[in-house]
Amino acid sequence: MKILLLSLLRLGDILNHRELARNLKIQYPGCEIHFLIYRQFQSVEKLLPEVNKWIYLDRKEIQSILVERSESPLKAYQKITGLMKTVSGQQYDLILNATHNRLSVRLMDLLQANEKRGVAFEKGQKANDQNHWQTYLNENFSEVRGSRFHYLEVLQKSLEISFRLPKQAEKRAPHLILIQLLTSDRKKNWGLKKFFALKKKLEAEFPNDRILGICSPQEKAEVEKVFTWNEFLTPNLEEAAQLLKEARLLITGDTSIQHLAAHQGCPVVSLFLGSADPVKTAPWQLGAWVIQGQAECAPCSHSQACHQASHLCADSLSVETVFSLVDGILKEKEICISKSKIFRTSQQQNSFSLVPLNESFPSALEQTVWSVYLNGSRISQDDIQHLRAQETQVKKIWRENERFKLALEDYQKGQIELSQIEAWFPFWKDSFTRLKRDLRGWVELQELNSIRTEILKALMVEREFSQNGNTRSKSEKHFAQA
Amino acid sequence: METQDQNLKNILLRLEKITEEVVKTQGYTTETETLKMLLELAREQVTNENSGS
Repeated sequence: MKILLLSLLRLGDILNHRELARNLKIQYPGCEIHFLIYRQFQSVEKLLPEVNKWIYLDRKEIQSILVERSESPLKAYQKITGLMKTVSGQQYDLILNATHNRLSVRLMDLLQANEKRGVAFEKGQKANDQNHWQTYLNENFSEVRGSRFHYLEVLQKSLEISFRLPKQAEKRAPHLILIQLLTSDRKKNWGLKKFFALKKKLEAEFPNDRILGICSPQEKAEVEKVFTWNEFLTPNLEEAAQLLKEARLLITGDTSIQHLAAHQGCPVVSLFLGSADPVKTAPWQLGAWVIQGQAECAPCSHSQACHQASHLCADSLSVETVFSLVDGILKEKEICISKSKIFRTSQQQNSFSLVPLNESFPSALEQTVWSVYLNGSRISQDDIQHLRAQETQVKKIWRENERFKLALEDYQKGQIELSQIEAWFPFWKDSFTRLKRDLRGWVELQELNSIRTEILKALMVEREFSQNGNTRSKSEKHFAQA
Repeated sequence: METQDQNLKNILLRLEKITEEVVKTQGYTTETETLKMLLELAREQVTNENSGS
């Protein structure tokens, strides 16, 4: 079987798409996988051993031809038709579009295969979505909209690739801590001076580790303004992969190196700033840490520059905060940071999830409800069972909330109404208000209410309730005291 | 930079016109789709026209 995957995005996306190649190899044993990428990212070849053949689109060259007055646009046209000829000659059984832009959907229209999956045009018109996951991907990943699932999970499910959760971050002995100093997008940068201060603090606290900055060779001149030559390295991709095999931690922004680190099992602490959305693009690794800058405008649009007078989200993350987080992780002690949003990547049943460190908001609940709907159009008894099974994680979070526990007990005894629970616990109500808004067109309100009732019942069933003869509910007393 | 941007806008206009004419005379063909791909590649470079992200 011959499969072509269109990966016409940036370097980090191509590295992420390695996961698709891995899972395709398992799903279709013996298959041959080809990747179509922009030629400018050719250096990624050796990092994806699962890919049998690379085909390149000379994007930069075509664009130069279009811009040059002396060049005929016909030459650019011929470049595209030449590529079509190369691809047609391969006679693919399956073509997958892992790219969501207009260029790729037009390309999908021109390419021939026995089967095509992913967003595409058919004879110049947008083809129907093949499943709900694809619609979800189109609606939530093409602009500034939140998602409840990681990009790789939605992408794989939309392309009907066997989904597997990522591996756990490896625990490594003291030796080397790497700091990726810049990203390719200014909005996502924390600042070289802050990284310099962090490096000094880490050196003082962890004398058995070598603390090294890294950046791409093109970024060297900028980094040299703050760091001396022996404080950072400029590895190529292969060398960076080797370093990440050995390092016990990588501190980085949302850039390609974080995805490379995840491949190598290197634990990651990622600083999510600017347009970086942790739910969508956190490191594809269980046990990774993400700290998010706080600003009303974040996460912002990917394709626009920061419009604020100062870099608000980066300013909100202090050196002390990032140091406290790293210190807590490396010393395996409790992390007490209240001013920033910190997440840890983990598994919630069959989904990849970000668990907030200092919030008890049950995002797992929303993820579960969405999964039920995206996996099938109508809710069934099986879905309800599945939902109940998945609620274990939600219960775990809520169990820690004493007030909520008391309210549930009272509800079960008939001492308070459901509406009272909603009034006391806005997270419960807000969660469903948001779901109602986001699920428009996906699900009837009546069905949503039935899910809510089912979840609540599931929560009740396994709870042991104390029997006391008080006429006033415990939760009412609790609130009266508060 | 301004000249390049203007040049790109001119290219875009030319390509759009050609594509429109081919669609008018021939309907949907692989040629029109190829031209539209070129349009996308040209658009990527014009400020605020990038569809690639």
